[in-house]
Amino acid sequence: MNNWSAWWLIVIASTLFTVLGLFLRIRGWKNE
Amino acid sequence: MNDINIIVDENIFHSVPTPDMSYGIWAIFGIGLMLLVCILLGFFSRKKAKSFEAFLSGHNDIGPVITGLALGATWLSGWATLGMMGVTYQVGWSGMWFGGMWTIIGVMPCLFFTGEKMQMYAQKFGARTVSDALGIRFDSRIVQSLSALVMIFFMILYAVGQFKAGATIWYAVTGLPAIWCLLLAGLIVFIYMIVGGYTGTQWSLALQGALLGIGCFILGIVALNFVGGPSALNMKLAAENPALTDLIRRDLPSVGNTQLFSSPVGILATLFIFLTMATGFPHNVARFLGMRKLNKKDYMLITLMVFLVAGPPIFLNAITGLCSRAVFGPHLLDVKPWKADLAAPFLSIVAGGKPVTTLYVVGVFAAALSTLSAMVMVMAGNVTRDIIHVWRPNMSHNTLLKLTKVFIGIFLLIPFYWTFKRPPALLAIFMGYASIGLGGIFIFCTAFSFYWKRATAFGAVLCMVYGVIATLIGSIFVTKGKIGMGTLEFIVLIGCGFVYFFGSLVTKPLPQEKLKKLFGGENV
Repeated sequence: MNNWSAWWLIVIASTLFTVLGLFLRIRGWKNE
Repeated sequence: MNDINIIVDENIFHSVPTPDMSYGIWAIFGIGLMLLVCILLGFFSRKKAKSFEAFLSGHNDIGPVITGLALGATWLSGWATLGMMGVTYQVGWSGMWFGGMWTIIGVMPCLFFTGEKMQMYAQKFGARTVSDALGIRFDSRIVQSLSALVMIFFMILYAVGQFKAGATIWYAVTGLPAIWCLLLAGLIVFIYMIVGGYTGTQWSLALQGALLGIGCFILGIVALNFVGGPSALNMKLAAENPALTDLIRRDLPSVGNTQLFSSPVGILATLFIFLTMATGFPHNVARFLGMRKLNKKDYMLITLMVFLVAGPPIFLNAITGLCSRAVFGPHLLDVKPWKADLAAPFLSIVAGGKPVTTLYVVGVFAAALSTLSAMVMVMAGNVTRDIIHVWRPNMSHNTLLKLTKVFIGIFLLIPFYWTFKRPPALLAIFMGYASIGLGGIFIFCTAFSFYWKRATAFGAVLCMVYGVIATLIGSIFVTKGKIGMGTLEFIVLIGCGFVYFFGSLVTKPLPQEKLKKLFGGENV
């Protein structure tokens, strides 16, 4: 794999990881 | 490290800058300004911490933006802002895995899985340190004190790295002898801890988080622009040595610390190192102790803040190190004792001039100061709260508060003396050992134990003892080239997990009533 592609892949994967994690975390969150 | 010797036309490289005081004056001005703002912030924002407890972790009232930026600041240290560029400078693209590309994958689970739990232990049970929370979780003074000792042991190693980062920066901008650079770095940390932000207030940490993010981001863009963009960067690296553009450098030995760049096992290990260390670092997890209870919007904000500081700037750091190699070739390796860690500061001088260099230098100091001060606070609190207070509960809180301040001095002096006597060759590698130990042990003892009811004190103790011994002995084997550093990560992590689960399952869990209090009604 080209090194720049690998770099972008990790950047995008990290962003998706954050968004997905946040989504799962706040799903069904009860504000108290 | 063995680089293939290829005859290269030396004219393609930029000459290594000769440091002079003109940059030093700018750096002194920038760092001075940052310290002043930190001190003012500490002065205005902090409710006076009169009690021993408040001194350790504040008043449970800090919001998501500040907590998020502060977590970013303590997570990112001299490793992220200086050491990472040193790694990609030294070995090329294959260094990015260990250099810090997993930063977000590492830190987000820390936020998602331990943030709320830690906040709950602080508010509901009065936990003031991470060891305190573990003592409560396992209902065990031994776990509390032992975990404190283990944290201190590994964090001293990590603190050495922060001092070297500070000293390297001073060399880059002044050219003074090593001892003076180290003294200058030590002096600034000392002033910072004693005068203004020595409680490591979240506000100062948050400012430092923002600064290091901005500094590294701008330097990354300037650096890439300076070498002529993405494809020009690769062409220049390949002109010196095609192996520098490889994602895995198979020409380097697959044992020792080069395994992290040269074999799939080593590269896979870097992912696990980052995944476990963010959650395993007590100074990260401690950020949540002073946080208020979050609602949904708060949670989105804290995630965004952590991403902004720990994400894009750090991804670009890998590129900055590569750009530095393209610009200077291997010549920085000749500048002793700083070597590859000079990659970013020297590139900022050549490519960015005084404004970018000043911003970047302030960013590195912000990163090193925030991590160091948070660690020193954790270590001092560990001794007084988790060791002395636990076994001598009658000691007055006033005495404990004074003792904490004395230990702050002691825990600053030890790593300072160490860096002075034996500065580590490549920052990231040195700090990597501490990360392997802390991460392997506390991913189980902290994160898993917050969710797994069946975990017991015996399992946690076994895990800590094994983790320390395996890391110590293993590091000797790695240094001697018997095993790879990535293999060591798996030996520590898998072994810690095994003894933690085994030790827990062969002993009785806490009584049901106690567990109900800790975990609420739900079954886990």
